[in-house]
Amino acid sequence: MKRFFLFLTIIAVLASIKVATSRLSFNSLSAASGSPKWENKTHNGILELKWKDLIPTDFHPEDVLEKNNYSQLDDLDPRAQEILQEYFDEVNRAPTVKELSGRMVKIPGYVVPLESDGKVTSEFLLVPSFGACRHVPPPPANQIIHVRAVVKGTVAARKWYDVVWVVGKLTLERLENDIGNAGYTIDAERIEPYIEQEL
Amino acid sequence: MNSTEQVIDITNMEFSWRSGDHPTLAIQAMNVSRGERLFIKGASGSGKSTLLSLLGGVVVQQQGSLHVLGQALNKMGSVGRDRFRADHVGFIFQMFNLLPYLSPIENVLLPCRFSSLRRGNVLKHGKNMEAEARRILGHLDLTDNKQLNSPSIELSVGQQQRVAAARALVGEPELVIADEPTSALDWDRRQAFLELLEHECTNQGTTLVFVSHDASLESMFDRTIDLSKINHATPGQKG
Amino acid sequence: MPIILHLTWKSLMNRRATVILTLLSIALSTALLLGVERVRTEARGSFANTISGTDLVVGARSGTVQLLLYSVFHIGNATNNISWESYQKLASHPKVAWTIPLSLGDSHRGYRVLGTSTEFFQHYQYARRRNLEFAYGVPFNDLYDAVLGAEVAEKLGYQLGQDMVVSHGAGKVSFTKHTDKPFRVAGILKRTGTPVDRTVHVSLAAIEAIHIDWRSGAPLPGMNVSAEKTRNMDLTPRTVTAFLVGLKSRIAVFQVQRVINDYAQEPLSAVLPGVALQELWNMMGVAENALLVVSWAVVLVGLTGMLTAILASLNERRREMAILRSIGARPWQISLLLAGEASILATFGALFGVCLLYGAILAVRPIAETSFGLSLGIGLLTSHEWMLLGLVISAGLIVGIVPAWRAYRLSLADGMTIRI
Repeated sequence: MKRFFLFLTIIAVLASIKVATSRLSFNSLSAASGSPKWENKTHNGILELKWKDLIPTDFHPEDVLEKNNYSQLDDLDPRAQEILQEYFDEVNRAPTVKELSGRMVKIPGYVVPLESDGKVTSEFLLVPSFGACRHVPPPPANQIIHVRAVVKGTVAARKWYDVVWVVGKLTLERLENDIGNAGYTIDAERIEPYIEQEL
Repeated sequence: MNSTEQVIDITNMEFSWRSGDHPTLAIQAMNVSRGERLFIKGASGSGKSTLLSLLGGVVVQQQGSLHVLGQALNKMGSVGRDRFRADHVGFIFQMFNLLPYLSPIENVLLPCRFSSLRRGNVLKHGKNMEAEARRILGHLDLTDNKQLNSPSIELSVGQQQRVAAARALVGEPELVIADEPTSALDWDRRQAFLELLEHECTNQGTTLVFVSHDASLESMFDRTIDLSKINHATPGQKG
Repeated sequence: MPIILHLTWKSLMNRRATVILTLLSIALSTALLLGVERVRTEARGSFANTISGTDLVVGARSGTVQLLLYSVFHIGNATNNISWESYQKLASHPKVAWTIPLSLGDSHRGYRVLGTSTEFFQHYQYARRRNLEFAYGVPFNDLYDAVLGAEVAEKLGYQLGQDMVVSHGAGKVSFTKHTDKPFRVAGILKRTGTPVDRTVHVSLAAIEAIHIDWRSGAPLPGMNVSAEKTRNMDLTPRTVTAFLVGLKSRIAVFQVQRVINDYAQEPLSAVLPGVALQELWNMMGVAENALLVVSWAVVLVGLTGMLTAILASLNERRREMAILRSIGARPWQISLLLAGEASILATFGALFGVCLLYGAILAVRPIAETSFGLSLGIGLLTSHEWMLLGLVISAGLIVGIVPAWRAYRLSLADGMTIRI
């Protein structure tokens, strides 16, 4: 008899753990991970992101400039160039936000097509700003999302300056033989044109 | 529907094609009784086309009253007049009466496609549409089955006129108006046509108004009206 | 069947000759419209399917579209080359997973000759990540091995092991052939529907070998190095025309592109193929739109023909309309007769046009494939094509309003007045 009750208890505990970790409730999850700011951005289980959310809050590359009193240096000072380069290197370290992994997210951006068959773009990069302007460095890896269309035909992004909402599961891309993550990917389930209303 | 004795009742009627012009037609009085055979004698220009248009409800008079089967046609809207004409009046013209690409039977049955009243009249006796068409055509001496199902253009003029008569009669309209229906026929056919037509009108109790300039047929009618006598309008004058 | 429809049908059957001509004119214009649309889409698809899975295309500094055209489509020529040192250096960038070097400039009987490495057969992809496959043979092994694209082998009737001679320059007829150094067919690729089919592939070393005694485009007098002798020489390429790059992470593309564009040693351009294609579409967009306008003009001409035919018949049918009025047809029913006719002609004409389209596609397909590298699909109509069809039919219905209105007015004016 005792054994039977013990067995039942173990089953119950396992079941409740499964329920607790199930993805049915995003709110409870976020509470568990200690990021309350995600809660009020979640609708129907989909987290609506802004681009700055992709940068960890504890990442401050500008510290490099401050530490070396960059603002007080003359522009032509060779040390200024070195510090600036250090700053860019730090920016390009581009750490990712681990808590976002596996979440269903929604984020707007510009489309840079990678794979297209002339009618439908099945793979593209999503970036926050338009144009590969030469005067400005390219976006760091945590400000670029590699998007793959899971459902064919939903991606009709035909012009590369199309602005779209991407909805899908966010994962962190892993590289072989490399330390750390390369960046974010989304398996997009829905891609909709972005209509400017909420700005 | 009033069942009065007067099928046509015209009183002090004046009509001009363009308002302001002198009237083309001015009739003080004209009456036609039910079942009557009326011959209207009129040369071209005497206003007979105008009279037929008025009786058919295609146009309405500016003055006076014109009643057909007790109904004042000028009081109905154009839609009402179209329906009235479809339901109660059959027309036979001098020539080209038929739609050339339809067979005689299809031509005869046309009015029933546009008037549910006439259609009902056919069906209420338990008859089927095609049988009824054949019946009337048979009375008018048209029985060749192949002919009856081929395009009407293949018939002779005389045969076409008889088909037109059948069409005017199908579905028991109260009034048949014939406008020179025999003028295109051979001399010897004219009487034969008229006999057949009148016989069928008697069968159905239809009033027949026959307009023609050919006085030789007058004797076959109950009454003659000389249109130039009753039309007070001065022909050819414009206001 | 409703009486108006019955009458319309019978009336049309009665005027068969004119009706058939009208149908044909509408059908032809519809087929043209849909055909142009299909060719346009297929051409785009053809272009887009030529390259896949490639992150960057790199060449000496040039325009984006130009670079794409000469390096991937073998259309046009490069203005400059990339030094071997620069290529090596950039290929060894930590973010780079693989590169495919490309060397262009020679031809064989009108087909382009491409100097490349065996990585071409390993990494080159097209049409949604499809790799190249060999129908016969293997990639080049020996110095003078050549791998032929499917069309080259088919059109020129080449078999494995056969000999062939490469000419200098890209012209079809060449007066400067490398006849002393013949190549041997080592492999034949399966058909891809891309420019690969129309290319002869050799190793980079082979390109060096055949140019070994050439300087400035013409053989030097007195200098004649035999094919055998070249085998013992240093055949490291000095330049490449362009190279394709695959990265370890697609997200790194902007960074690597910047590194290449900023490369101090040589002026280089690195472009994203997807972006370059879009620019190409934008450029072609103007021509495409012009073509579309012309096609619609043709449709309009067809519909105008229909309008003319119906309006012309109206006069003859006034008699008919008067008869119908006399037996009680309403004016709107008579106008519906005319409108119905226009609708039937437009609809059947358009559908007939679809049949013509498929017939034409089936007939033209083989030629389009072999002569233009264009694969015309015989799939069912796309939703876009259905929409175009719908627009044609709607235009026909609208055009039908004109005679319908005219008939309405005439039937009221004429009444039953029969003019003999």
